Amino acid sequence: MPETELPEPLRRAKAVLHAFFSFEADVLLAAFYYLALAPTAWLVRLSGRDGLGLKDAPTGWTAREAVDPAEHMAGQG
Amino acid sequence: MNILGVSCHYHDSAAALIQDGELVAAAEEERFTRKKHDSGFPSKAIAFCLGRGGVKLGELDYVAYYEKPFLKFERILTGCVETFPRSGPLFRRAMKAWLGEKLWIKSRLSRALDLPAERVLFCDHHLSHAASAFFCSPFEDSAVLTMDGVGEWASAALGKGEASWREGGRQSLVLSREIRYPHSIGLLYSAFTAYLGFEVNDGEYKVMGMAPYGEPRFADAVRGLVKRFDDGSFKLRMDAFAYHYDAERSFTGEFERLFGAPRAPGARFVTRLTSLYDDTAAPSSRELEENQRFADVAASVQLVTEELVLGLAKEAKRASNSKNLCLAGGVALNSVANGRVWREAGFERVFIQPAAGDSGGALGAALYAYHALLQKPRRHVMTRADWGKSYSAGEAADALRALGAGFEAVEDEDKLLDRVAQLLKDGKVVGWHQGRFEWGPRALGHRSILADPRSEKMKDTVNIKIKFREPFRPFAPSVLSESAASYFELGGKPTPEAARFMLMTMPVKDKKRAEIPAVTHVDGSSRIQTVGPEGDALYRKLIARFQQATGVGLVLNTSFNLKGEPIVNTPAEAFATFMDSGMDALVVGPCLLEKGKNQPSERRRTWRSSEAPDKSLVL
Repeated sequence: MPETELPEPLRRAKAVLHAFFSFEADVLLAAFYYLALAPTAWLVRLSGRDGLGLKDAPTGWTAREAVDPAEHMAGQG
Repeated sequence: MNILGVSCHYHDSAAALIQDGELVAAAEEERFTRKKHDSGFPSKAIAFCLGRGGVKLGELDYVAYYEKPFLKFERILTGCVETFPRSGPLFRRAMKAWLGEKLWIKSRLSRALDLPAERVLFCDHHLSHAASAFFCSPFEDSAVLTMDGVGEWASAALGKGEASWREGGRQSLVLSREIRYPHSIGLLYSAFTAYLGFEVNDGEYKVMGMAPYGEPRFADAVRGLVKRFDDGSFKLRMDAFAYHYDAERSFTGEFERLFGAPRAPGARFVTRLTSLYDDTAAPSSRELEENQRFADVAASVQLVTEELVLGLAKEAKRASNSKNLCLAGGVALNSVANGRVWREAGFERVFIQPAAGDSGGALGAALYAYHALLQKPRRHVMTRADWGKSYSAGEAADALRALGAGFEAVEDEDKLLDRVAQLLKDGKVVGWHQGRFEWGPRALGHRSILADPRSEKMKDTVNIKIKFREPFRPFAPSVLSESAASYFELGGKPTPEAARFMLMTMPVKDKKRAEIPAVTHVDGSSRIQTVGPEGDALYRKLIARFQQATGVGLVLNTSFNLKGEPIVNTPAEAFATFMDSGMDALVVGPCLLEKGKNQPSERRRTWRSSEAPDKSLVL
């Protein structure tokens, strides 16, 4: 049933539930961000990895590996 | 063999269908949903393409998606980890979008199209861009250069295509090098788009239009944000940019230190060279000074962008030694940079297909599957852009009648063309709705608003009274291909293929500038569309008829929409837009409507996008 056809109490209840679960999702994601990504970020920094290519380099180019079209198109990654 | 290409979930969702290597239909979802730059799953565009090709669900051989979602997700996670703890809000937004929808595109396509999962193929984002240009070009071999904001990891790539029209011939498209996120010409330009008060992924062409009002006095400051290498590549100084960790802002306080306070969105843009039209509020000297600074910033980023694009194009020439160049990606919609590439990079011919941005990826993925994967010979050269939906004369008349429109059906084509040419000559502004709508962001004579280019006032009239948009925005001409050299500086070269799709800016000849002021920008340039014998016959006849009437072989052509809306699709949308604007006449197929007989009584429009655009550049 479209939102506009719902009775007012149901519409309010739906909005409250939506806000609650959206808030819950935000809390869970924030918790995950600080608990899981923090140690990962520190480990990455300690390892000296330059995933975003922010350090000095002799060129801005990165070579691309030759791809076999069949293999290339079969996967999502 | 039916292959459907699909692009979605970033911006400008689209679908394209090829049958035995021939393009049959291609359309952006926004034309059906009326949401500008719609990024949702393109159900309506897919339904249109399948219907046009007579293909039922389950009958497709393959569907090809325009990027690799897992690689893009990896890039977003890497960015969040490496910019921890500043990336919290970006991480939360990214996870909701990706876990909720974007990661499951394979099963979504499989279910929606009733295809086994192994028939769903994936093509790298820049390879899709490259294929969309190269496999639509007339070239058997060509250098290929792609540039955009970002795909999976790449923001630019170069390589070479070699593909044959013969059965058993070699079909190869290889990108050998790339520039990786967060270093990106597209994101650099978008950061300035946001700084100048425009929506990112939408207002970039407004920056390009604003630039000629300024002097590039900040060019050295912009160059200071970019480290360039002798091989054409570059890296950005990331302390000035925030798009790689912030979901809302794309630049940092460093921008304000270098260029001053940013422009407020929606603020009036007025300089000594812009028109005030009927705005009675004279600008103060402070307002003029502030706006001149914004124009100068726009001119500076445009100049540096041209330098970067030219550097990459010259490297593509050096590496490939080809006479031909195919350009693709959102940056290839920068017609001023394209014009410089054509004039200065050393290539004889330059091809860009009209949907050079992300929507074009749908077409490229399908073509890559057909040629590179299946090794089928070339079948298609894109010489025209009308690949969308059309409406018959009967459908147009029925739709107009249903809306209570007063119109005259002029079945005789010659009479219709004479009437329209006379209207244009008399200074009337005419909506022109004919045939299939265009593929890509430009209206090229199928969903266009047309006017007389000879009138000094016409630019203000169309900007302000017809399209309700900013008075500084320029207009483009549609010119008969044989007349192009009379009006524009082509340097003795044949007109480039890309000019068919209004993707190149040329200088207007000095002696012609006063003759066509409405399509000559403030710097004397013009973004031309050439209309040749291979293009749309009816549109070409109309321009020729206007030439007979006036001696001028071109008309002002702008997209048939109002500010902030997608270009119209249906006759009903054309009529509603006609009634809501100051247009004088409308032609839908053979139906001619004049405003006098159709007085606006109420707003006819039943659609309007209410969704706030996503400000994030990188998700």
